[in-house]
Amino acid sequence: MGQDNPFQDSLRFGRRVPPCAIVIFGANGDLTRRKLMPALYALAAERRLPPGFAVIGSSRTRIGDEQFREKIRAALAEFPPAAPFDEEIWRAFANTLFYVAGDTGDPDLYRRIGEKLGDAERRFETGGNVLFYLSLQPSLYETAAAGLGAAGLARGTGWRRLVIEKPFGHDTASARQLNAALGEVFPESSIYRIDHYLGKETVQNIFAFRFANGIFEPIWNRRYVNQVQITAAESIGVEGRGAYYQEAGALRDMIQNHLLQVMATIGMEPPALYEAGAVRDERAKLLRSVRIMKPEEVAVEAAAGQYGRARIGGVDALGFREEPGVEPDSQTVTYAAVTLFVENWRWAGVPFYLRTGKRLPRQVTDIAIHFHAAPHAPFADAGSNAGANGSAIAPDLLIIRIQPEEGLSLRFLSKQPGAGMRLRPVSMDFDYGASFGAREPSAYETLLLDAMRGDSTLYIRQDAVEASWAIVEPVLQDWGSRRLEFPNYAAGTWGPAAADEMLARRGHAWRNA
Amino acid sequence: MTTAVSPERILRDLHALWESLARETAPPEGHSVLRACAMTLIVIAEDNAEAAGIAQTLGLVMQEHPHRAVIVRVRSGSAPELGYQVTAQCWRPFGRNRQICCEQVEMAATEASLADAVPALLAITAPDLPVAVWCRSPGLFGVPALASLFARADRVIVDSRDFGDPPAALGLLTRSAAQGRGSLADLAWGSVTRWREIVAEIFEDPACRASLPRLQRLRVLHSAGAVPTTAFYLAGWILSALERDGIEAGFVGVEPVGGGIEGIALEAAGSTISIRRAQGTAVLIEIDGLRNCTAAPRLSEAELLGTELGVMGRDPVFERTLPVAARIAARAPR
Repeated sequence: MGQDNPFQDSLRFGRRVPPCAIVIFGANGDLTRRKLMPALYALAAERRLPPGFAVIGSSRTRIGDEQFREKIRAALAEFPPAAPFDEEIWRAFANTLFYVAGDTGDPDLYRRIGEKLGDAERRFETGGNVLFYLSLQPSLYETAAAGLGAAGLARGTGWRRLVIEKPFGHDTASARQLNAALGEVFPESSIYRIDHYLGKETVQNIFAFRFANGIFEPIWNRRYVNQVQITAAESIGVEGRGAYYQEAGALRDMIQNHLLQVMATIGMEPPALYEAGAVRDERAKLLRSVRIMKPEEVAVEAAAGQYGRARIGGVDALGFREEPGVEPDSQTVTYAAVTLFVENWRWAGVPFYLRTGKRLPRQVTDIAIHFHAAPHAPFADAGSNAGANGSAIAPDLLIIRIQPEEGLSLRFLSKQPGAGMRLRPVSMDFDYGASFGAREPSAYETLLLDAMRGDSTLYIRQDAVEASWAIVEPVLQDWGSRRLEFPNYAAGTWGPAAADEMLARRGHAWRNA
Repeated sequence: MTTAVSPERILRDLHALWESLARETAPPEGHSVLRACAMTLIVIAEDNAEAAGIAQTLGLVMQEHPHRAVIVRVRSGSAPELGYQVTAQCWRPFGRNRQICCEQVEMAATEASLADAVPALLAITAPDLPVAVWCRSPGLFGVPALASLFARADRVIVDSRDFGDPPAALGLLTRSAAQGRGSLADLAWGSVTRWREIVAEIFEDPACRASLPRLQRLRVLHSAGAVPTTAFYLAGWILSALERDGIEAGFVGVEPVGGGIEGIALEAAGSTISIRRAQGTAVLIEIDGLRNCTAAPRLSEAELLGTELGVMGRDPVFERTLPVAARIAARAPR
């Protein structure tokens, strides 16, 4: 269609989005209010939504279109979108919002959604294209998909796509079961599994960094890289999500999805093309190449933690077991660290250390590529100031910061000014915000637009989900089979001693340790 | 303002500027400064050009396209005077501790000393980064002394809306583009992007596209007065995109609602498309009686300049449009 329009200008115009309707199940939920609607409003404000567009929200709450619009307006006030609120834009956006109340288990809900979609198609010329977004409890995914299928909504005059949020199952077997159930209604090519980490600008920038520059790829391998550390630290606790978090835990909540996807992006082979099939093939291939831990290896290659009470900056911080909704003897892991090895020619023998935790000293997500030290150091005594602990020459380090203050830093050694040859690490920084002052779209803006356009590059494919579960499953089984000595780290510290010991066995240390 | 311009001296002064900024803001007392530079932007302006306006535009553009700014203020006169001063423009992004700073060199020159200034300008561009020249004053675009600077730049930016005679301006730009002076950009062209986008969106509909072979007439509506370059650009763009003869292009001056372009009308046998500016940023679209509304905000000089700095390579649609727009302008009744 695009080739036929003689007026298109790919250099100047925004990427085109076909007309469509979005049906959001769970339209009264937290995700819709915090993320989806602010993202859609920001897209509307920047005129990136197609002219033919409508949103149909659905949940159990019995309200009408007008009340739904009022709720969304209140949500935009509470969780301001990236674009400034404008009354005129809001009015136009609000006119595209509709609501259908009902229970996901009730077949009549889907009949009424079908009617509303028909209205939207006639009124807004949405072309019969529909994106179904399941912002629901995962236990309802199969019910909702089956309801859509039974009502004939999974097929139509235009395209039909299904977006689901993590978790995609709670282990390999349940992930397969979910995939099979969804696959009965929607083909795999129409299922979009969101991992919002992949929608972050800096994670996408890893592709540009690795594959648009010729200088990094030659050193991106075991010959030059000594270890890779991927950290996603949160300074906050469970913030009222204690009941949910108690079921998930850090390994399922962060490592199985976000951090393994980041690791796959760091470690994957260059795709032939930046398009969905090629990129997702390479990411999945990398995940399938990760060595699966043997049960007896878990104790030394993984570390579990749960934060305990502490006093931080003069304020008492609760321990996890004291958080509302959490059992007093909870075995939930709020900190997880694992050592993974990729069994291929590029990465053989290079440890990938992944860690995540709550109530750590600060919020940071970054990737640190540690390079081998120089093979020979001709500078006797030169390194007395060079190492992190003042005793050894610090090897070169490339840090990819995902949040906050996205950017890259390259640490290398330099001569200190003055007589003699004394070395000191210096840092060369690239700050994403400083070099590109334009507003970065939120991950949800990027991912929603991609789904509307049918670009699944930043979405996770079924085989990658199953490969990720296979990687963490031995750890989950081991931790689930024994009683862990919790709490084992104080809130506001960098996690349990076992995590430091995990690296120390190979002579390594966490970057901040 | 010093009295001589030596590139080495300017670069030394820039270095000293960064050292003093680093000292003033060194931790733990302050927060370190981040030097940001993604290109060199040379601004050529007549001395009487509004200084505050240029500074404000550069200050806004810097945040999206951090650059080494070199502002050359040219005054008439035959004295071979040259002078300069260096400063830093800093800002602190919301929620961040660290200041981001860009460097700025202001040079004063006379028309007579411009030829001497150009080698100095080229010597102080940030190495290995693109060079854009923004010729802020139309009177300086044709000055021979600047030809070598334009030829070495990756992007030469003008605003043909400031040129007195639109047909003459488009003719001059067409000749300059043909001579291969950098990659030419016109802020006037950028200002019609949203109008072009609206047209393109309309013809995403296959039913509308089907009417294109029957298109007989196009009218560009503009604020009453002389036909602006933007109107010629829109007409030139539509005709060059369709690549066929037999379409009559016309221009109609109307009572201004927003100023500049006020609308576009496309007439085909049995079909009419009308795009008209309404109040504020609103634009009304009427296709065979069916009405719709969209927005076309007017962009500031900083927004237009920022867009052009984001397009460092060639702009094939502009290159295709410019000669067609110039031909239409040359034939248009005055």
